[in-house]
Amino acid sequence: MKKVTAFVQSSMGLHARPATDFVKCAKSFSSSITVTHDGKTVNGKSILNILSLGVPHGGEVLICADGSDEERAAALLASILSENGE
Amino acid sequence: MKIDAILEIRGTGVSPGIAVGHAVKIEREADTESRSLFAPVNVNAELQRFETALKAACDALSELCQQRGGIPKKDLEIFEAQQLILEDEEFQNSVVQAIKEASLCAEVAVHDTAEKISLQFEKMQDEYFRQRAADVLDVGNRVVQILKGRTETDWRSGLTAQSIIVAEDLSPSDTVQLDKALICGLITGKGGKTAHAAILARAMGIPAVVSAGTDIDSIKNGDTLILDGSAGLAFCRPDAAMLKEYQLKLQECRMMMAEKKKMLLRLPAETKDGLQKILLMANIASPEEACVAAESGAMGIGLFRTEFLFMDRSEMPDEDVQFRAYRAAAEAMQAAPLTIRTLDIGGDKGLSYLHTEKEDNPFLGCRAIRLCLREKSLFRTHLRAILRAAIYGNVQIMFPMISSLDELRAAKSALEEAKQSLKEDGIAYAEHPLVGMMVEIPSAAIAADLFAAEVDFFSIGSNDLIQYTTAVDRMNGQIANLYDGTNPAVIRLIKMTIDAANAAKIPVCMCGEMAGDPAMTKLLLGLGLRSFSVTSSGLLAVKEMIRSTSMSDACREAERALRLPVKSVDPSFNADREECTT
Repeated sequence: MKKVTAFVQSSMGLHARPATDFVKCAKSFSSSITVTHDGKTVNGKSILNILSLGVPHGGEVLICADGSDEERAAALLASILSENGE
Repeated sequence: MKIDAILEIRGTGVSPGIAVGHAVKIEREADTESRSLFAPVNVNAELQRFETALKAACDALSELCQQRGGIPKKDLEIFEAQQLILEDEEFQNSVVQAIKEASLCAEVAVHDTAEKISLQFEKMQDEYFRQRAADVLDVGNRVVQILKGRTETDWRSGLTAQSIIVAEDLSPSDTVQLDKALICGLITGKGGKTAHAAILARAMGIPAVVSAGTDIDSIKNGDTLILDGSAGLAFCRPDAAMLKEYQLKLQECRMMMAEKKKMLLRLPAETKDGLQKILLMANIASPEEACVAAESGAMGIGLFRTEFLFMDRSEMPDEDVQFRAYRAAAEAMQAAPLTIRTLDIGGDKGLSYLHTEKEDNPFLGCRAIRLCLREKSLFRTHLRAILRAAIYGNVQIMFPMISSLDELRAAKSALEEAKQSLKEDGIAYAEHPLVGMMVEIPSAAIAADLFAAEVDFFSIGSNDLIQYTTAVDRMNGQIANLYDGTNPAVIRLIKMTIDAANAAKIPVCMCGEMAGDPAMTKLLLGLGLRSFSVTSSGLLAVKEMIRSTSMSDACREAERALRLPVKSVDPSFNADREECTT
């Protein structure tokens, strides 16, 4: 299992656009992906789950990838959150 | 005047402008109607119906994602998010469960599921996330309509020219399908500034007022309506005098906007007192943008980011691929300068095919020119492509992230080596393109006089200069308020750079975000900046500011700013905070 801590850089937080990018990317991996924020852990391949976290700008999230492509998945997903979406 | 007959409605203006037209009310059928379908069902048949409707809804959404009517692509991405909601396991499982366990028909199952999920969003603290409830309901409604065999264009057939839409709430898909030729405004009872309906209305340039409350219930279909999207006001059934007043205003507004834009394009970028002529250039990130820049009145390209060619691919773009891109930009600009910045990558923005090492402090690490000087063959290919393209236009070469004279000299000798290798290969190249550097690291700004003696021009990169001077990572939300371009230390470094350039008689430009912020224009003019490079869409705003500024005012402002901070440069920080508290 690969765990990475990332900070959401999009100025409005983890809103629809970055969440869309994130989920699309997560779905392209076979590893299971979970995202934890503020003590709540959700399925990283569900946009409803990701949005329900309500992560604000600068918010810390823990990404866990578990599976054969976990290394790449964790790295790529962390980099998506680190992009300044707007 | 029969003032009492006029109904004044107050709401929130979310898209500016004035509209005069007639009301077209959109009333959603009551949700309870779907309850009539509450009857024993064949579970398998309902599951099948749900699946078919899901697919149809997904197809309809992908069609919506396509670019239409001048709406920026980013504003349509919400439909991509909606597609993901449709595909979402949670959503689908919950519907399937409702059909199986509660023996609900597909319509009711979808409706109830969407409602349940949207309620969770409505409970969230942040205004933005609360607004996502509307997206979930929009998705649910789309599927329900398909299940009922209805097309969603019903109300659109009632539209005629000068229609003003009156609705309790508008879903994003309602808004994006509004026909701009027929609709001149919209007013809703609910909604907020960050609702997608509001964002899309702004993108389409349709005046809009939201959260007008229950007052809109008194508007009847066909009522004459005046909408002021700037003031957040609407007048229903206005009298003749008021109507005339607003029609005049509307006409004036239209003429002024169009005229102003046309005039501004033609007018020179000079200060109000005529004392200073300013060189206005554009920042671009691809050759296609060069044409847009020229049409927007840019007198050249102050910053051509070359990173686009290198991202999103599995291997280095070869010399010819790069050459063709740079040549296309050079030809588009003709004789106007095209400043190509050499690759600014590395650190946090790694390239998969470069195998860069992971660094503890990427922004203080091996990025930009530092990386290029290590990756010799990558740099040589890059420089060769630029030198070859320089034949086809007025190309200037600019090195980013220079922090020491040694680096500058190494970069310049790499350029000479690239020329030499082209000569040996018998390939044509430009012998003497101007060579400049970004001043974006305090060490370069402080010793600007030393650097000025060895380059043909400076370009101030304000984003990094602020970040490195104040030791503030501008992406770090916790300290975003410290990222301040008006910090007197930053202003002094900018001044030192401009003064050193002037003393060495070389041009100096600014290409960071500060250059494109009209609130900073006066100050920068006062500091002695005569050349600005900003995004094409921001050119006119800066030009307008230059034309309304007199140099004596500008100098006074600069004098003060060297001592005291003027205002925060990053408005997004404060805006974010405000939105959270509402």
